[in-house]
Amino acid sequence: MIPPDHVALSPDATRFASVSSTFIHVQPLSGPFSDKPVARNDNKKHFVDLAYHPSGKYLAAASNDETVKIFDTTTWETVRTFTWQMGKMRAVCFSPDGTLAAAGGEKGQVVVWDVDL
Amino acid sequence: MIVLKSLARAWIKKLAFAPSGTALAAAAGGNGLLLWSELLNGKKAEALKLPLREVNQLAYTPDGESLFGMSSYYFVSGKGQLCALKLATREVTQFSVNGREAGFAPTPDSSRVIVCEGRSNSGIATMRNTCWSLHKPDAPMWEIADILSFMVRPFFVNDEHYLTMGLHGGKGCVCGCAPQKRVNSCRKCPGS
Repeated sequence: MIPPDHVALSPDATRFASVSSTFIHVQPLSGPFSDKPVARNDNKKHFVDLAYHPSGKYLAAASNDETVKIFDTTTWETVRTFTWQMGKMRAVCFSPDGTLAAAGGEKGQVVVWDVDL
Repeated sequence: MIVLKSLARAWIKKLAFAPSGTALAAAAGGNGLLLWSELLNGKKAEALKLPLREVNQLAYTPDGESLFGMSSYYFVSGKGQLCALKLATREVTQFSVNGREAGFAPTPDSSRVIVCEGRSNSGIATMRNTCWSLHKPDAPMWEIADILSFMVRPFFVNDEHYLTMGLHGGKGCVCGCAPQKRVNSCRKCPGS
């Protein structure tokens, strides 16, 4: 089961995203509900955390496959895949101004990088 | 890119940037908390323990003066699994929340925190939203029943209104939606 904080409200507060196993779901706050995921991982490893970029244009998802993937929230294509040899990734977030991102893994390491999208 | 290493070598369970973007907090292993107060100066993290069984949710108050930590109910239950760390003094305030805490959100004015709590009465789970003042942790300022029957988390959508969210059928997230019926749960925060 997914821990309860693995949901994220879009910065414009019009939709929310969640991770469920290998899928990312996005639902509008109003309008029809859909069970169809917007994206799925390209392997069988689960997503475990997610975060919207403050612009709302991108969403980062941390995964047990030892990556953090950045998705374009219009096309839901993967625009970046990061790996740092830190083991399974457990958490990801963006700074409030969107210029930095951070991700943490199972070995107690945290990586911070400049967001260049 | 910089790699921030902790001595704990424990799972990083949650990360949160301070509103200024210059500090970072991490929930790491058990009730551990790592703080990088000056993120880019290369110093090691300050390691703290919060008076919680687990720390798996983190959030700064919007003014950046306090950091909340919570044990969410998939990991533990019991009284007092929410606390606030005042960053200037390292003083910890523990709140007497008394359910299975699911999620929380500091109010935009940084003076209060909205908590989603679950309670079980005769096997029937009920959810409530409670509001706590940072200066009065012993009793909630108000509480209201929520229509959700699964875990929820509040999000403020503006200075006055918040939404509660829950998961539906393990597949995804619904907003203010009971398992069989969608309703609007956007609420005005009393007292705001």
